[in-house]
Parts: sequence; C-alpha cells; structure tokens
Amino acid sequence: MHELVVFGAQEFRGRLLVFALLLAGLLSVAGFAKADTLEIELRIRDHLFFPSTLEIPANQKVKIRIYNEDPTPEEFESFELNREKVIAGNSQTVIFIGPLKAGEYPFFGEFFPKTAQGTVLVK
Amino acid sequence: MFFNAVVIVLQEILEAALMLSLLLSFVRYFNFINVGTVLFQRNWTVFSVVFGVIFAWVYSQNFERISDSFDYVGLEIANASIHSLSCAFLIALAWLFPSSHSVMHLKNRLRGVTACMVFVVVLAILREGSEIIQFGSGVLGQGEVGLPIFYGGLVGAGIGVSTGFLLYYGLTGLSLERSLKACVLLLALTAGNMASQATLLLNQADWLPFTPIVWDSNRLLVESSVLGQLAYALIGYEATPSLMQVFAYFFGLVAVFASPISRLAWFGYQASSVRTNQDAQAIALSRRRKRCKPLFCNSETENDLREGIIMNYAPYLGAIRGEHVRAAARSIGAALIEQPGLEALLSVAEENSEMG
Repeated sequence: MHELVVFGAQEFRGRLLVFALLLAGLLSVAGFAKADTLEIELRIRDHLFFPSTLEIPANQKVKIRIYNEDPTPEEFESFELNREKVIAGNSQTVIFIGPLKAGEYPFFGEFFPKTAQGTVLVK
Repeated sequence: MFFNAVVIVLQEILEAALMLSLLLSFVRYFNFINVGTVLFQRNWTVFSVVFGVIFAWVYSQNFERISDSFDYVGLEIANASIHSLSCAFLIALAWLFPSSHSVMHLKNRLRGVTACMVFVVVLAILREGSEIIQFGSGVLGQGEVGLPIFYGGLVGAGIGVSTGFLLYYGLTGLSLERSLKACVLLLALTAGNMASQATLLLNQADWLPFTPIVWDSNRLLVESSVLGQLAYALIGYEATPSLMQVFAYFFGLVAVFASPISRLAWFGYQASSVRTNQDAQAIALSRRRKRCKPLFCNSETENDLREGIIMNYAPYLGAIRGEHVRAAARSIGAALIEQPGLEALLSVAEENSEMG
C-alpha cells in the first residue's frame, strides 16, 4: 500500500511557520534597505535644473526623482557620477547614485547643455 | 543647436557604425570560401539596418510606457537587456565562427554566424536610433526652426559613418593574419563593453548593489575629451569603473578570447581543436616557419614554408571552386609572404583545384 499523504498536518504547519518566518525576515531586510535610501527631487524647467546644486551626505545611496516639466525630452548626464538617462517631456523618472565620497560631482543636460547644468555636492 | 545636434547624433551613430564596420570586416573571411547561397549572406547588412530602424521607431513610440515601468527604472532594465543580449550574441559569434578543417559543416555555421551578426546590428541600431529619435522629435516638436538641427544631425551622422568606414578600411587593409587578430581583439573588447554597460545600467536602477570605484584613469585619458569619447564609443572606456563593471568587462574579454577563432588568430594553429597526423606535420612546419625570417630562408626552408602555409590554408583553398582559386591564393600569398614562394603557392593551389 503506497503512502498517499506526503506529510501530515503537523509537519505542514511546521513548514508553513518556517516559510512565513523566512519571508518576514526577507521583507524586513528589504524594508531596512529601502529605508536607507534618501530621496531627493530635481526639476527641469525651461532647460534649467532646479535646484542647480544638490546636497547629499557622503557614503549613502541616494534616490533622485527627476521631474521634467518641459514639453521636450532631456538627458541627465554626468561623467563623474557615471549616470546617463533620457527623460521624456512632462514626465518623471528615478536615478540612483551610489555611496559617494565627499566632493563635487557636476552634471548637465545633454540636449541643452549650455543652460542645463548642476552640481551634486557631497559632504 | 546646430552644434549640439552634431554632437548628439554623432555619438549615437558612432557606436552603431563602429560595431557594423567591425562585423563587416570580420565577415570578409567568408569571401575566401564559396559554399553557395547562404541565408542573408550578401544583404544581411541592409536587412539588419532596416529592421533596426523599424524597431528603434517602435521603441521610441513606447518610450514613456517603458520608462514608467518597474517603478520608473524601466529604461535601464530595457537597455541593460539589450546590452546583455548583444554581449551574448557577440560571444556566440566568436564561438560559432569557423576555424578548423570542418568544411562540411560550414554552411550551417555561416548561417549561425550571420544570424548572430543580424541580431547584434539590430540591437545596436535599436539602442542608438531610439535616442536619436527621442532627441529629434523632442527638439523639433518645440516649434523651433528645425533646419539647423536637421543639418546638424546629418553632419553628425556623416562624421559617424566616415569613422566607421575608416575603421573598416583600417582593419581590412592589414595583412590577413593581423586583420583577423585585430578583429578578434576588437570583438572581445566590444563584448566586454556590452557586459560592463549592462552592469552600470543595473547599478543605476538599483538592481545591482554598489561596488567601489576601482581606479580613476582621468590622468591618462580624460573621459570627457574627444579621444575619451571616441574610446567610449569604440571599446566602452570608463575613467572610473566600479568593481562589478571591471568583472563584467573581464568576463566578456575571456569569453571571446577562449573561443576557437581567437585561439587560431592569437595563439597560432596549434592551439585550435582539430588534431590529426596532418595537423601534427603542419604544427611542426609552422613552428619552423616562425623561427625563419623570410628574407634569410634557404630553399629547403622555403619549401617547408610553402608546405606549411598550404597545409594551414588548404581547407580554404580546397573549398574554393574554379576561377576563385587564383584570386584567393594571390591575396593570401601576397598578404603572408612577399617572397619568391608566391609562384610556388600558386602552382600548389592549381594542383589543389585539379584534385578538388
């Protein structure tokens, strides 16, 4: 006679508990990771960055939410930060800049570089 | 705006044009072999460019939908997938490229290689074309006078395409051996470039964790200079790469350098996979060839030289039919030995064509 039941009710409850604990552990770690990221805003209006200087603390991952309030697309680019992203007109986007050492990291808008310029000041 | 348009369109076209010229010079070796009609062999360039432009248009139509997905990092995910796929196809191209005596399976191999090339070119044009379309449509839709931007774009595209031509003729103008070595090297660098850019994009989207910056080579070559940007377009030069980028680049390099064609090009015939008695003889002959400088050969060594070269290239010569033999032998001979052995090479090639 073959065993039709793979594991009984008690084992099932035990395994469910372990799985739930693991999931809770993972989610809490993820929650901590998200809480670490500072979020700042950057706006593009009339081919200019507002604010043109972003101040962030050193050695911390930062999430920059860029709102492009112009009808035309713009490209956020920085050689020092190694970041490059096209943002469509009248839309927003998100860029992460990793833990940075103290200093000045300039960025510019590649489509309108004469006016769109800014600096990330890391203290 | 004119100059701005020049710079932006130039950057994008440059990356695609350099990739295309590299692949075209790589596929030149197929011309030594005539295996009848191979799928898209002649017009694969046109086919892939056309499809690339179509896909770039579709991509830029859905730009905002892609950009808003994955919590506003959809663009990074899409571009990172394009880069990783390009890297994978470049590595597949290197591993599929024929490098041994197996002429029998050449037809299927050439189909596979052509398919890889088509995919790589389509992905490259998709990537670059979508950015150009984004720039162009955005700036034109502003209501500014579109003409200087259009001319700027044309000038930028012209410069990019000319640089592509320059690379193509530079690569194909070299001798056969050096050309193959240079092509394989550039292929490896391009594969590494694709892999490292994929990791950079995923880091930007916070899908990959932070790794520290390994070095700062701005003292050697400033990234924002003209030469630096050219190096970025060609091989993905980064002045401040992160550790993960360096690993990804290294992975791409090793994956291509381990392939049979790179072993043939860089480490000589003896490193490739086929082993028979004939091969052992050829290996011994080519070793003696390396020790002998062509100008100071005596007649016995010259004979060995001729035989060694014939045995190395016999499969290619033997697979050629009819009137192509003389032309192929002449080009191979002229490329490798500018010496009295040329007539001997031609006579042996004639014998081969009579046999085959």
